[in-house]
Amino acid sequence: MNAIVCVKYQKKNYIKCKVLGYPCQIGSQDLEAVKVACLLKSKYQGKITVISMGPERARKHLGLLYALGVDEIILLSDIVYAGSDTLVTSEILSKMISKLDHDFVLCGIKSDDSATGQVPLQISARLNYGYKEYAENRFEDFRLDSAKNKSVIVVGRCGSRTFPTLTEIKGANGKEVFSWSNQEIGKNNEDCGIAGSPTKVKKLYKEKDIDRKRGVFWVGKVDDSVKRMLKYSGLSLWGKEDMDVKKG
Amino acid sequence: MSKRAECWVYGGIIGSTIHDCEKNLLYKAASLCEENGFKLCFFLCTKNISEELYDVLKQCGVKKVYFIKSGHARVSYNTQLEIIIPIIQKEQPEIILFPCTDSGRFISAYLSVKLQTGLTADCIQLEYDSGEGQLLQTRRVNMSEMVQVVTPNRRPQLATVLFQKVYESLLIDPSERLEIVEKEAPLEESSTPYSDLQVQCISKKYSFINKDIVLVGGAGLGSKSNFLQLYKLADLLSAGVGATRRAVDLGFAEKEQLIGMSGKIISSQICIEFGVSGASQHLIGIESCQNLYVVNKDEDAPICSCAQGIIVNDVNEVIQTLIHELSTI
Repeated sequence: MNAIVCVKYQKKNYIKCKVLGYPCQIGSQDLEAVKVACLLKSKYQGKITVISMGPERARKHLGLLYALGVDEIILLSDIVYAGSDTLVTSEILSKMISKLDHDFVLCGIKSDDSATGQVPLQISARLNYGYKEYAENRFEDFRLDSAKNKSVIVVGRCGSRTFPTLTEIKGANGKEVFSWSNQEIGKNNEDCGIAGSPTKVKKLYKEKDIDRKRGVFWVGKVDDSVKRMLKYSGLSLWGKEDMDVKKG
Repeated sequence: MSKRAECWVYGGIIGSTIHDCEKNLLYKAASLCEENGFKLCFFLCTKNISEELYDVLKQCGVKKVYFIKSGHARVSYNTQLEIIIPIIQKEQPEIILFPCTDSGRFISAYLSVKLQTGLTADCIQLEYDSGEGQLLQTRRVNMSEMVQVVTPNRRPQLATVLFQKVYESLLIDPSERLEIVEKEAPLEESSTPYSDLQVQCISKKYSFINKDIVLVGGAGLGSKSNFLQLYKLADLLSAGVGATRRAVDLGFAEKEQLIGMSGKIISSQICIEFGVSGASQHLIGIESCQNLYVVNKDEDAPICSCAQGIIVNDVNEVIQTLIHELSTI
């Protein structure tokens, strides 16, 4: 079983998870995909390759994944890739995937920052692979033979936590994150990054913060607070004949 | 005069009538077309266009229908793509809009690759800049940041649209006939590289679309049997039932019921949240609700900061009491 896991390096303000107690700037859903891959590895043996397209500073965070049981991590980093949209990103990633030995590709549902969820679909469209979605509770359905035809598998939460052993953490220390650049991919520089992306960001703006009044708190006995809430919201009148009057 | 440019709305597989989700999207697209002189076209797969469907489509401002005729209920994504791509290449529509459903997301992502064009996910606002000839697609990045995206050089412009409740109705000329382009779906082939996603429909009774009250359950409910109690409560209030991402992941509810950035946006009069902590992705889905009430153990949960009223207590106990109170009124 050789698996490829695609992960995304995100900005600092989207940190949602920790690896070994260290705040990790990798998408929380992608991290779940890595954990699923590690669970599968413990069941079926094989090799896990993590790939990521991102800036050079992602190296430190990606290196942490070795401690979870990943065998190889490749960081694809090139200045010409800056500003790529989903269409270009999926092309670059699928080119990279086709150069690596694998049985299936694992992805997280969506990233925490832009959350489009398009890249896994577009990868499967480009490579002509099947596409499957697994939520947490259906993980048991996953059998290796179902992945006989190459496919892109999107995972939800895997539920179980894997704790690396001390030896694994120690072993992870010396391992190197491999670097790839556009030379290995061989894509025209003009077709990458902002220039090659069909969608362009016109403007980015902040919405005005809406001032909301602090709500009423009902604390104490259940029946008491429920009654007060029903009275306050007018729900106790709901479903009665005079409902329309109240709505009007 | 040259032919009017077309603006498409993807409907997918449709039964005897269209859902509110597509209806709202069509209303939105119709007003966009009205202002900018596009021809609104609708793409769908169904057995045959019933009279009811015909009238509904006309009311929504549709001028032309691309219709895949298929004897069986499900047409695979693969077949849909095979039929839709040549038509797109022939007709050269300016814009194609997709609802944020499983099939909408799937087909849009595949089309963007096959046609090598830009795709914007989860738009909440659409405008048309007729000077530049660009569709201005606005989507959220997080709670407070919005981003406006355009596709300047490639056509068609693809966007999936999160639906919101639209109240407007259109003035339609009753004598106008719908133009129908019909294609027969080939018999289902077995070797399909695209695997179909299961499309599950929750009972329409609890669908939260166009409901005045919506109840939302989160992971805080603890188990599926506790979640099922919400339906009892929904019966009493004739409400819809929604869920958070975590609750869907845990199997308490169906994916259709998901409210938030990756699901649906609701704008009901009253929304009551049970055991929901309030991740920012979820708050996006409920922010246009007029009245928000929360039942939560933790009074410091993020959701409490945007609610009108908060019951700080055990969620399941409160549900039982609510059912008791409301059934005795």
